[in-house]
Amino acid sequence: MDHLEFYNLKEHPFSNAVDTRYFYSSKQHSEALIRLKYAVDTMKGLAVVVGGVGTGKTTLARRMLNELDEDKYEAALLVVIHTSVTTDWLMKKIAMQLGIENASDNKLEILGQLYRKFLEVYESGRKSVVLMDEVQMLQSREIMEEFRGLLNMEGPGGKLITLVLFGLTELDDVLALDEPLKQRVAVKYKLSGLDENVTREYIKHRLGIAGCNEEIFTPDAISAIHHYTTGVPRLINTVCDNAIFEGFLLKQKPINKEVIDQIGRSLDLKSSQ
Amino acid sequence: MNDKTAIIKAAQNFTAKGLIDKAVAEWEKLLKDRNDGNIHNTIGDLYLKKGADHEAIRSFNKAAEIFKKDGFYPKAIAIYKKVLNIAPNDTETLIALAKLNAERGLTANAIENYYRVVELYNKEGSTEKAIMVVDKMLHLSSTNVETRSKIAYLYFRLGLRERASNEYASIAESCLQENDIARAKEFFDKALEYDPTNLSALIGTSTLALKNNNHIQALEALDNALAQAPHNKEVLSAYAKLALDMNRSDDAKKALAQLRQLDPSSIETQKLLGAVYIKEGLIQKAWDELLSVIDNALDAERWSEAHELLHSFRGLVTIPVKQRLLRICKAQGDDYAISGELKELAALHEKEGASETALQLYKEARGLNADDRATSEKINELEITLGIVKPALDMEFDAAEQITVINNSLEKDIPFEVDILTASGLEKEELTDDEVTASIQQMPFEINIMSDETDKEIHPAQGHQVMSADAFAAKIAEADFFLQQGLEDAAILIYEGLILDFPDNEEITAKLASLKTAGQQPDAVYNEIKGDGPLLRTAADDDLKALFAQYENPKENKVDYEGHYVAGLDFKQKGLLDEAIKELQKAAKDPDKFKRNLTMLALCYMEKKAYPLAIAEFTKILDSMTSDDSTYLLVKYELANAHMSNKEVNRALELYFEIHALDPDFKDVSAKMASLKGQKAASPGPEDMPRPKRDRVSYI
Repeated sequence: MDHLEFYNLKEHPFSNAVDTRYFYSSKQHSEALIRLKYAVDTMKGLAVVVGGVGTGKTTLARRMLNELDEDKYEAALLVVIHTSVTTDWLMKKIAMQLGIENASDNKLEILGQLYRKFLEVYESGRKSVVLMDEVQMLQSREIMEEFRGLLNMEGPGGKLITLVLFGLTELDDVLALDEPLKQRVAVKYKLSGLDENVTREYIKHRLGIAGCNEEIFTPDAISAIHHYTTGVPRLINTVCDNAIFEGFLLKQKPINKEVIDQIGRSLDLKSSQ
Repeated sequence: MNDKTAIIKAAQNFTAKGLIDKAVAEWEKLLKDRNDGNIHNTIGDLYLKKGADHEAIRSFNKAAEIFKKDGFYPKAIAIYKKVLNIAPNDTETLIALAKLNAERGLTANAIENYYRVVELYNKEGSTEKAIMVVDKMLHLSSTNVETRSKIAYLYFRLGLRERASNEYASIAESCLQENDIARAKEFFDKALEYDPTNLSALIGTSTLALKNNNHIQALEALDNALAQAPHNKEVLSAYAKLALDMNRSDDAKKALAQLRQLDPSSIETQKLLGAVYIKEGLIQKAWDELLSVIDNALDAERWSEAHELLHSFRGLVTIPVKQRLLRICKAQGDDYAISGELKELAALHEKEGASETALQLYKEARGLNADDRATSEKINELEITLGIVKPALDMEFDAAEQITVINNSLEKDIPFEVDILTASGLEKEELTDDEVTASIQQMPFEINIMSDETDKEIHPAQGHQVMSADAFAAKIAEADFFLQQGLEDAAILIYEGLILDFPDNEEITAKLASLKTAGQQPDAVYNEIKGDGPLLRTAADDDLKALFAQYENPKENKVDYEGHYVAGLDFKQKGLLDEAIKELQKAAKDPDKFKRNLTMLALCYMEKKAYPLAIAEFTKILDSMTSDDSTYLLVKYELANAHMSNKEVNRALELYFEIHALDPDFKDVSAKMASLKGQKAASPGPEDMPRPKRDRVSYI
């Protein structure tokens, strides 16, 4: 018997890999989603979501993409995974991701291709949306200027594209590299940790998706989880994931506060209590 | 013995009186004679009673060591557990217990013990020690994904992000090997989460995307990998291969150029570059690139690899290619193939004027198949050209051909009778081959060659008049003459006449077939020869039959269409649509159940939301039907649904109208029509265009 079986789980409930099935619509995430949709539907141009590590930005970005029906939106999500992205490469990737075949290597030509594409999308009654995650990694004024260039493209009905940028709080500094771009931010949302009640609901929600409908943590343990993680979803996942394994080793059900304390110490987490 | 009993008694007395140290001293006396685990255990218990935990642990550990050494594993384990009850954080004992559990195959227990040790080391800041223990855990659980995943996470907790990432990538690769795509993806994602530059994970992500037939995503993953490591040979090679698959020759060449710079002697690069040239149609360039690779494979006797490489050059009929193919055939001992390659090679040499080499090759081919008339003719022709044999200018019959037969018989040492020899009063042993030839050429023609293997007497078919050899030869010569003049039809007429009299004559059958093939498709020739005509009616040529067999009845290929259909259904039910589609595509070729199978395929496409493909398949089915067909309306209805799903409202509406016209109560057609009309009124824009689905997430 492994730890999953021990707790009647069909799969790992607290994996940190993004899985939209596990999306928990907390109040702040729902709010963020509504605002972003508003920004996109009214073609506001630039929307920004910032938040600390593990607060659910990537999950929100995926969720947002799922919300953008392909029939109504020409949408793409680009995830930045390294810092040395050049403007040419970035523009080409945006072009390719929006379905431009034979995207040119020449930036000026790409901009032309993009403009034609945006118009084509607009004329078909749809909207072009580019979501980008981990944008704080793009610490380049040149790239910010390119973003501004994209936002300047306008058609008969106004802006032709909405950019939705997700990133750590440092994203503010990156946007500030090009002040005019920063001024174009039409919608901004900051994600923070979940409160204790929401943390409880979040844990319950994930356990339920993984097939377990019983309480496997004592109320004290949940409270401890919240204190160690300050409600940051990724940390909640990490602590709970470890707790399930440790609890299994100790054959403990439900898992108590002591186990959480031990994990908190192991992970060098400080209790906010 | 008495001493021992007395010592034990004394020890027990001391224990009973609570004099633990004295009792221990007594027990230790016994240890002088024999290092007994039980005694150490007893001493440990005594120390424990006394509250001397440290000494107790030392004694227990000694006891456990002795039990372990003597093979009393359960006892040793029990003792270690006893120690851990006293000191749960005793890392040495935990490690000893883990080792023992591991030796006994109790991997889960061993992992549990080690896990605890890691926690303890981690807590006390002994990271290096912790890592060593984690490595041991990894060694123990090389196949258990869950445990490995836990270990990877431990690496992360120990601050070794890169190592954690590598371990996740390694787990993902194992999952990939097991074809567990979902888990492989999960672990590759984790690997990239901890280290977005992890090359193995990026390459693995690319492999995964390929498995899902998402070439674009695969290329992107490799693009990212290249951005991380522009000089990594593995990445460059994978990129080149993928670009080649995607017909992006220029990209493939760029990557290969870099690879060549990094490793000019790489055979893999040569192979890939060769493949690029082949794809570009630059066959000669590809040959130049691959020649040394092919020769390497040949020299190393890697025949299948060499054959595979040469396969691309079969169209390049040159002596070097043929020489190498011949070498492979010889190594594989396939006489039929050897003979074929020899003849083709001989023909190439002949064309280049190397008649002597050609002759040798033809002779070698004939050595493998003495009955090969065409080769024998070629040999004669060449021997005459080279002056080895004089041409038989005045012969009424094709004596040269018969001489070849004799030569063959001589070479094969087949007993033969030649009337002519007997008539001349000479015995065959008294003649050289040349003398035999000369004798034949000088004698009036009347020849019969008999052997155990061949019967070259000219036998007319039953019911036909006997034709003299002279007349036969004259007919052949006449046909040949017509052929030389380019009058194939006239030649065919003569051969057809001859085959009526000599249906067993292979030469005529072959010539006839060859002449007809020149102007027709093979199946047409076969049908004509095989049909009601007289040609092969009485004498079926086995080789020819075999040649034509493939055209005769495709059903004999025995494709298990039903099996593919059932497998397709099974996959569909399990939700494995890609696999279902593959099976059903095969099943759809079944001429008998094509409609049923194609319908199922189309439904799979619908389920996969590949509406344009579903539309194509439903249209195909509908095209094969008439409106009387019992399922006509149903298929039309499905086609309409497919158009509707594909947002082609007008076309869907048209089809619903057509169905409605035939049967107004058919299913929910009326309702759908009303709904679509409403939609059209609400959005009178241009007809919706089908948009191809694509992965909307990308990494940069």
